[in-house]
Amino acid sequence: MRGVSRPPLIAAGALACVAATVGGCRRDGCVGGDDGRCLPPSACSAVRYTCDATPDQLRVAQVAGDERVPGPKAMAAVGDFVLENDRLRAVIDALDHPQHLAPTGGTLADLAPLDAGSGDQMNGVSQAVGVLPRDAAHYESWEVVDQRLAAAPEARYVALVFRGHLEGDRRVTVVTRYELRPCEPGLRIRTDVYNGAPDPNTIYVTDGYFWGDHTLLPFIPIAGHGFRTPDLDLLNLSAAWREWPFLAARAQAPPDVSYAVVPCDRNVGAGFNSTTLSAAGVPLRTTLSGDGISYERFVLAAAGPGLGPAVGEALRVRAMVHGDPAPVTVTGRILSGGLPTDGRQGRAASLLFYEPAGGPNPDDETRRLPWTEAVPGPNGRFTVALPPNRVYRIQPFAFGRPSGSPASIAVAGDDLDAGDITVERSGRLLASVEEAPGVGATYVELVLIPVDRPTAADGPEPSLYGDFVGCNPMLGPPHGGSPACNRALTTDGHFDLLVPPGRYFVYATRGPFATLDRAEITVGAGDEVAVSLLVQSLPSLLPAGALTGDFHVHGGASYDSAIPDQDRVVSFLASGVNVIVATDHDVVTDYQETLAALGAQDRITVIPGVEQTPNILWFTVPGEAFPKTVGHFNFWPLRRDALAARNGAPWDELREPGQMMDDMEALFDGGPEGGMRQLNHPLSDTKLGRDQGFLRMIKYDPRTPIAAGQSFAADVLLRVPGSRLRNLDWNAQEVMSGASRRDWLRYRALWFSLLSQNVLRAGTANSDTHSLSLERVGYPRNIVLGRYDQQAFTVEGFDADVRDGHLVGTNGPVIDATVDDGMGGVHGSGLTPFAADGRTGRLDISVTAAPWIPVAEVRIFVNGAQVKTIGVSDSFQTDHFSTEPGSVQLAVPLSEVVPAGGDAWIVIEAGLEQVTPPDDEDGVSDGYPDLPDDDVPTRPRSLTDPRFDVEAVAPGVWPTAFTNPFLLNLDGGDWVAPGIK
Amino acid sequence: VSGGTRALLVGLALVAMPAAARAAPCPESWAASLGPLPAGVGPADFGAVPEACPGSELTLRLRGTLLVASAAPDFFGSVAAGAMLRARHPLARRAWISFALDAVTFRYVANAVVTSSGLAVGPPTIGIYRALGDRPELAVALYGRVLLPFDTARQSGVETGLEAGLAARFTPRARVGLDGGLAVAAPVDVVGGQVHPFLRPAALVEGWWAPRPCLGLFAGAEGRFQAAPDPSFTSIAPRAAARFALRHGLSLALLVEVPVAGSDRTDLVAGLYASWAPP
Repeated sequence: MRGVSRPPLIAAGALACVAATVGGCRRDGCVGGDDGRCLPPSACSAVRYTCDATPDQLRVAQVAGDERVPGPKAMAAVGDFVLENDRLRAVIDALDHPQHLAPTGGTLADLAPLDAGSGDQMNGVSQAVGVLPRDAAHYESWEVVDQRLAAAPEARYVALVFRGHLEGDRRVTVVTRYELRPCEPGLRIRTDVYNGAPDPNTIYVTDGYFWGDHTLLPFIPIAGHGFRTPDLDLLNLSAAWREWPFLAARAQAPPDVSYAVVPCDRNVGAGFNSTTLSAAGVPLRTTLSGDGISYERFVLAAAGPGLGPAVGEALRVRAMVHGDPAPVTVTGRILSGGLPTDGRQGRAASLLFYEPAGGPNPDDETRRLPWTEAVPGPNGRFTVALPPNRVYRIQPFAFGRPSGSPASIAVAGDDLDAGDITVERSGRLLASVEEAPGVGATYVELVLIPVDRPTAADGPEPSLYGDFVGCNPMLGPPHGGSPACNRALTTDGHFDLLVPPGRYFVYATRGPFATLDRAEITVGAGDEVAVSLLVQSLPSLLPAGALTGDFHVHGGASYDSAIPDQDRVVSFLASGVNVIVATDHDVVTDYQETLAALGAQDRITVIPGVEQTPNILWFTVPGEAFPKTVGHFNFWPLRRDALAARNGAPWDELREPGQMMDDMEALFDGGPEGGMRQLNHPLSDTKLGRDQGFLRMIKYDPRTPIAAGQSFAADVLLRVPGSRLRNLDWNAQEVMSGASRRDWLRYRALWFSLLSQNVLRAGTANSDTHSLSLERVGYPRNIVLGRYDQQAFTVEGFDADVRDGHLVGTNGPVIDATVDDGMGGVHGSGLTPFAADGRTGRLDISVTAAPWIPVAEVRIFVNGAQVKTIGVSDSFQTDHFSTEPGSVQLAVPLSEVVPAGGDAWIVIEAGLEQVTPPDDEDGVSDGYPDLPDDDVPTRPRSLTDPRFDVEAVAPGVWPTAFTNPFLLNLDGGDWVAPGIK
Repeated sequence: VSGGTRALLVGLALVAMPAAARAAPCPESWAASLGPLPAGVGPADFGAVPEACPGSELTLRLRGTLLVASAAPDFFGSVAAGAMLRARHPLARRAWISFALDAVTFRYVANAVVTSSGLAVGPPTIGIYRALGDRPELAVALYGRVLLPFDTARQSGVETGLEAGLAARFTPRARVGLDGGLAVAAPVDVVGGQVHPFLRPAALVEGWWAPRPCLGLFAGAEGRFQAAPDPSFTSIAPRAAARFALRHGLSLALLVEVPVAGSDRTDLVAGLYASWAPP
């Protein structure tokens, strides 16, 4: 070699080596890929907490028994991992225990302070790099790092390391380290991602926090936000994208706990924040092929009411990690009427601290900068931490509304006593409810509504800092425990409630098969008002031996519910329902401990079940750009296994309905033959891109036959995707789900189509309740006609009656109908055909209803067509507070309704007038009736409107009952379904 | 990697050998028929088969790449637009060097609805070239290039690498000819203390026709592969270009490349080139 070639080459080589050494050769966890030996370093290394904790208080172990902390979300199962110190317990689920959106375990399942009265309120936290299922972390191995015995106290820790890759690309490796040290209120978490794929990508390393709308209330301290969240549209994420110093969240219901996430290796976290789902991760940046990225954060939990405890810890962590000025403590007292006020977990008094907005309105919620929330204790005292050297406004809240004018404080560098802050005085309502004159009631629900329709002059609608409007008065967080929204429960017939001043109708109710009582009260500030109400059972409403059941209810174990078990069970009891099927999302529950604590085992039967709720998009539908989920299905009776993942419910993701049904066969308590498989809300809309209704997802048109090759939907329904059952092989389907009249009319059209095609399924009516405010237990419910008494009740027999269609669905009226076949036999509804003489046979129909349940007509459907309507208004009460039920008996010759030739099926309805609307309102001809948007029931203007009191007690309900079909074999031979007209 | 390194060493040795005579088929640096143009999606000119002829020029390349895989299951797309500066300068009668730098690159990447974008500077490359042979219709050059590890787009590590190859130009007639060559690139990602080497050969064949002295038309294809690790076919990329010779040593060129097969999901590469060669 000669000439001038050598020097540049040598220089270039040297340059490369130097640069490589400086830039890439430094060992840095697993950002360069997972070679099986790399180890992410400890996250948030600047965090320093000190205390007197002993090394033996630090623990890392696999769960071998019942390790669950209190709290509705605690889900530790045998095989999961526990990290515990003197302050909190974290549970990381085992690799084969995936939950929610995660395809594998290795995600944070439980996080709970160990303080007395605290517990777990976190649904779970999983890692991803995007919003699609392929972007989720898929872990394949784990290891424990145990440094409890390190010589230096500051070097002691326990850690779990999970190694894997993206669900959709093994070339992109993911390694996450969870670490817990003594004295620390949170987990140090670091995730390393290496992009081994050939293309640059937007690798948004993030934790997904699935709040589910009704659980923890998230908060970000940036201008215009706080608890306010922009609408989240997954297809337009940029509109919701924000950066923040920390993300926090607080419980709506006991146990009181709050959480915060502080980014450690970046000054800000980034993502989107909504009451459904938040993503807290790294700011968006393109990661080139062959490059890596890491994300360190401190995820903490703090006991106590409100958001303040978590924000205080978050600010302290930021001071340690980012050098932010140490927060100062602001204390004070809340007074009402000159006396300290018990905040009652924030219901009656809370404070929102924010930096004022610039400009003429410092309280402009679209521009002010919220920092924290304080909830006073029983003595009215509060303590919060705030960044120093700023001016804050303090807005008192009570009952979901600003209560008094905001005060201003200037916070310097030292702790500050803000003095006394006054909230408007509330009133006190003392209500006593009797179930017979002189006999106190036990389980009762109280409902308050304003006497006068709210106007703009009344100020903003009550809300939880802008979220969850729709409750007036707001006696408590809408999805929390009693009192919640405008409702309260009791176990002894007595209520002692703080209420905002105003005029109210106070209702006492025990469900639609009891009378209703109402009192009008005027409560002034500081007033104490007592009312006595009487609610009597109306046992004569129901056919002898009938039991009522709600086969679709949710409690705090569901990812989208926060209602405590105690309140949930009391709501069951107050609703008058006899049988509840517990159907929490993806977890088996049975409420037995709460029933035992209440001594109510003999008053209600709870059948353990589950609502299988897939959330991972995967099912492909022709013509659709995005993959789908397959809707929701209920299964019961099951066995609750508190030591198993999801209490024994199988993982339901990436399974077709038939496979989900196959999975359940071995799990039914009593064997596969006794299992109930219910198609839930079959045409429900999507939520965050997740299909909740199977039939809507596959675009089944009820005008088309379910026959091979007829349509994509038909082929899907007839397919056996697993070992035995078809996707069509549910044995019950919801005809009513919740209060929605629109949904009922559409679900009914589907059910009628199936009946006409000899796809015979029991039609059910369930509430799908998630809280006291979001759908009401037992509206609607099923009346199961089985000649039951409490002693003879068996789950097997009950389910058999449901499966065979021996039931009536209702949200108020009661139908007791039979067919006299004209040949000496009398038949109830059911899915078994019977012979009948169309010339001499007769329909005998009895309709009854509580005085406050309006009934206007009886409708008879034959082969899907409404063939007869009978007005019955005159037989029902106009005095809603009478103790005399309304009733009517009708006899209709079959000859008036059945067709001249062929067999028939008959369904009878009773309730308010209802004309089946045409399929043209939404501009889509899908075969289902469309209720106009302006036809949704709302509060009637007139007190004398028949619906006024129903709407107050069960908003949105359109009183209706329906029978299951009578299958009439009219022409001999086998019963032949009429087919689709 | 060891094979690639050996090839590089051999190539560098050949580049440094004394030359006998200038290759006849080589046009002036400003000529319309000068090629091939550096394309592909790699950093700067790394991995692109270079010119077989010596010369002195300064080139600005504006390059855009497009990857649209918006349908299921990919839901992915990326756009990159960048400006590269490249200079060549003779070291001797048959040897020259090059320096190229991605002066600025804008990237927009959509991972479904999660998107990122940003500007970056780098990386640069340094190359050295040696003409071989002395046939009237054929020019051949061996070369070696170094990818320098400076790229502000990288978050945790660096990418560096070596490249060796052979470029050839065959000119059987005055206005018609063939360009081509073989490039063996060996990029190395060094991230978090881990080293990820790759061996990625590419072969280019491109015909050209200069109907007028001021216009050169090019058409050809490049095949790209990954030899190690995990051998795979990256792409076959047909390409077409036109080059216009202007006055005062200036020239403009347009190039379009469409990868049509292989694992590379890039849909389109387009380049606009402005060059100046000293008289």
